[in-house]
Amino acid sequence: MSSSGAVNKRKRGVCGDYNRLLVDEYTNAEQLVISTNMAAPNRSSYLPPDIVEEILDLLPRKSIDRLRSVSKSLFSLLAIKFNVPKPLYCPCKGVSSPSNYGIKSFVDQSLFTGVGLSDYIGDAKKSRLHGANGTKRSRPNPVVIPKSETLSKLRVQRRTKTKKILATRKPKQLYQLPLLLLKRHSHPPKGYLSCIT
Amino acid sequence: MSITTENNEKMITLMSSDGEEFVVEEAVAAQSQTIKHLIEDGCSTEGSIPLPNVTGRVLSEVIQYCKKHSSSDDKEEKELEAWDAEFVKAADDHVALTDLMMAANFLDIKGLLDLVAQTLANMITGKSPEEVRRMWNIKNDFTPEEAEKVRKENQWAFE
Repeated sequence: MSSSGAVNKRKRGVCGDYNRLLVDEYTNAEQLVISTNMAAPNRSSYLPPDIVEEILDLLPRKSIDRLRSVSKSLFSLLAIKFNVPKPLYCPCKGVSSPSNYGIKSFVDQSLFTGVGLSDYIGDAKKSRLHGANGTKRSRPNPVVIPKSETLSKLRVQRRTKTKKILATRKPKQLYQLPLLLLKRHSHPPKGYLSCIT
Repeated sequence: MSITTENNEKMITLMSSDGEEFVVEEAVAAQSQTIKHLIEDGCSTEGSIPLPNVTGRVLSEVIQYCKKHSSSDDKEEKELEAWDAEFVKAADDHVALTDLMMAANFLDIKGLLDLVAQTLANMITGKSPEEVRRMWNIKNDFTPEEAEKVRKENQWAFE
């Protein structure tokens, strides 16, 4: 069965609608004989997907990304097989390995640094267009997960801060709380006054 | 059909898709997991084992590989690697290698499959999409706009 035939029968979205293309291909995974396109010349038989996957597994990242523009079916196969979430960029963090791509790195990092998602998105937009020195950037920098030393330092800092707050809080402040509430609210909560008296 | 030789080695007859027959030692044939299972199921006693997905030319190459790998032990690893390199070199182009890979996949010979996959991967590495299309006879079904977008998204791979 030729996958290209199956692909042609299906309705395509507007040109360049890749998400649609991907979903389309993914939901039709049963018919996804992607590699059928990878036929040797003058052959009626085709390479089955598992064989193509064997070859693809051995290719370097650069070749894989280059193969994406060979054909639609190969694009879909590669997307299903290799796509990772798009990297989130932080221009001040430098370049990291592709394994650091994705949401997980963002979550890991933001948990410890307290940087918001909006900060990243803002930086990502800027950094995608321009590098740190204003030059055009072709490949964006992914997020760098802080080293374990940095993480432990951050944890210690946070712990010290909490300790300081607890130490500076006077016990009597806790007793002053009802009075503060009385001052703030012209109508204190029901039963509150009776409780105090 | 299985025959036993003077050295007490059991021989197996394999028949290719084009009717060519090959008589090989059971140990050699058992390099293929598919054939091994067929032998275990007693298929070899009823005559030759038909291999409808493998042509005579390819089967002879596969047998050559299996013979070498069944006779070599671990000490000869380096020599075997050199032999493997020469073996895939002899399969002159990617079409022959593709046939070999298909046969290795059907016959379930992991070593041969890995070897040919690596050779094909090496052939693809560094090639432009146009070259890959030409090599594998792949039709470019991207519209110009789509092609442009995919290329832009993977610009780094073309630098």
